[in-house]
Amino acid sequence: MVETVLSLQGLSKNFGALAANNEVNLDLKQGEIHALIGPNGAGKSTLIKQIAGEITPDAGAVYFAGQNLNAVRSVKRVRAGLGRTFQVSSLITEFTVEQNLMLAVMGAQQRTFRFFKRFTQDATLRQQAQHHLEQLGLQGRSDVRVSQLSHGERRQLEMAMALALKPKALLLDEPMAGIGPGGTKEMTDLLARLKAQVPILLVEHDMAAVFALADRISVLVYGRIILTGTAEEIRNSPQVQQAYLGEEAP
Amino acid sequence: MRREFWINTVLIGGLLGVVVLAWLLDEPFIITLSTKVVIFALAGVGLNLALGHGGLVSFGHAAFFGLGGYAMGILASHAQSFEPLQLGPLVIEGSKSMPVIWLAALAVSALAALLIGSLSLRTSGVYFIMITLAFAQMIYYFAISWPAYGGEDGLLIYVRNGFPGLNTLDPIQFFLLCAAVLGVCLFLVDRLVKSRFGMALEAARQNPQRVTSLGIDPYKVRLVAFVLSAAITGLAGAIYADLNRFVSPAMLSWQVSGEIMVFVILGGVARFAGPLAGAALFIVLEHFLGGLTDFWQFWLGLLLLLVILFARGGIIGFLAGERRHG
Repeated sequence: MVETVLSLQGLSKNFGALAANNEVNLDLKQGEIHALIGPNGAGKSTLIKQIAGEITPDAGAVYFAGQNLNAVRSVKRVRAGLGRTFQVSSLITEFTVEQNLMLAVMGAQQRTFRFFKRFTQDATLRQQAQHHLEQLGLQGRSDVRVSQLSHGERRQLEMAMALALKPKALLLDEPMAGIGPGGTKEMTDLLARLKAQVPILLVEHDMAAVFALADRISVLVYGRIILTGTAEEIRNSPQVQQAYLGEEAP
Repeated sequence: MRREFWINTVLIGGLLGVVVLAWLLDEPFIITLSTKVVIFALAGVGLNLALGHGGLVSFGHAAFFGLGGYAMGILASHAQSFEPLQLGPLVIEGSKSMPVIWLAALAVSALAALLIGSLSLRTSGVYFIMITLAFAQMIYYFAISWPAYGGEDGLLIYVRNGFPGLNTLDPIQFFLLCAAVLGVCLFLVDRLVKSRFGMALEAARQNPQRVTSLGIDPYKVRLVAFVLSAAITGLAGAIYADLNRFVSPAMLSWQVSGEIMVFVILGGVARFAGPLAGAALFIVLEHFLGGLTDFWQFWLGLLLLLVILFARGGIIGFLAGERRHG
């Protein structure tokens, strides 16, 4: 039996009369990529925010490694091993690429309160930052300020920072958005390699990538999961076709 | 960066040069004025850590400046009246020794900042400005209405407190002592800003959401920065009270918060020597322009306006010709 890492049970969130998430059940197992798809406004971002702890659910609970996370603050969820990337790149834009990664390594080490030693002379910090830099093919860009990076490179850096935390599960919010066909190919390869190390909950609009990568797919429509299944099952479901794929896929 | 280094060197060298000249020409007033610059700069160095590096616009740093001042006043007044301070079961002897007084000032202002900060830092932006102001005003009115230590009239200390091995009544010796304290604090803050903690603080200023998602709590980082910032400003307050041998609620007033902020903004936010440049310019304007016209603050205001509109990096940023952040 494969271990379940992350599990959402009856998660609901209303904004006024709008049920953004309605009794969502979903789980993420060790070694898999579970993709979450759905049309715009289906409540994917609300779901991600509830898992990350930015929004508290009205009902239901998020379980991570068997622990109920409802009362756990975002920062503690990260420390427990829940890594994420953001839909819109969220980086320290006035820092260099290397400094961003050094910050991530610092977070992973949980040794922030060091007041005297210069971080530029912190060998362990720099070595590990370089290691993660190379993993994502960003070597040679280490001294470039984030504000000068291309969109695709920012995406890569976000991934590198998420990985530097050595997460036990990854929430990726549209990692392919706006990185071009070449970038999508690279990112797909990377995620395919990564899933052996860390299970991934993938929110993505790029259907080709989703069908290529995902072991299971859940379809979210109007805040409800209408179906969870393999790529084949999703493709052949008339319900999904009507609700979602019919609009975009030919 | 190199250019800023030279500007700082000229600034610090210039101040020391003025003092040496004043000492040779036997002009104690100029030395005292320079001491005031150094102490104000120290208060600014404290605020610069929170405001400049942490992006925490505290409009209540007079609270810490004044608490430092009262730490000095209360300890020294008990020493000069030979009555120990009774705090319930705790009996504290008064003190006329600067190192003891400074430790007390650091502790009192840090503790106050821990309380004020832990509440204020739950807000941000305008709310943070207003809540820090509100706390400072509370302490201000408390000091006015508390008769034990002079109330509105303040506390007068007859003789300046001592420092082992120095004659603090000699203006040049007192100046050098203050300058040494400023130097040490500048060095420590500079190291702090370039440390792991400084990196986290800077990152939390730019993007707290990102910092959180790396497992670092921006609230904790800011709180520590706020406490350290307040402690430095509190130390400056204790020394300032010693310079005047007087402490009164005026040190706690919101105008003082504003002035400390002016030193930082005029000199250059988040610049190494920004508070020194700002305090020096402030004192020069107050003294020389104040000698010419009663309305010198009008010109100060105009200058501040120009700096904010056209030189966001303050004087240092303007001279160094580069912006750090805006």
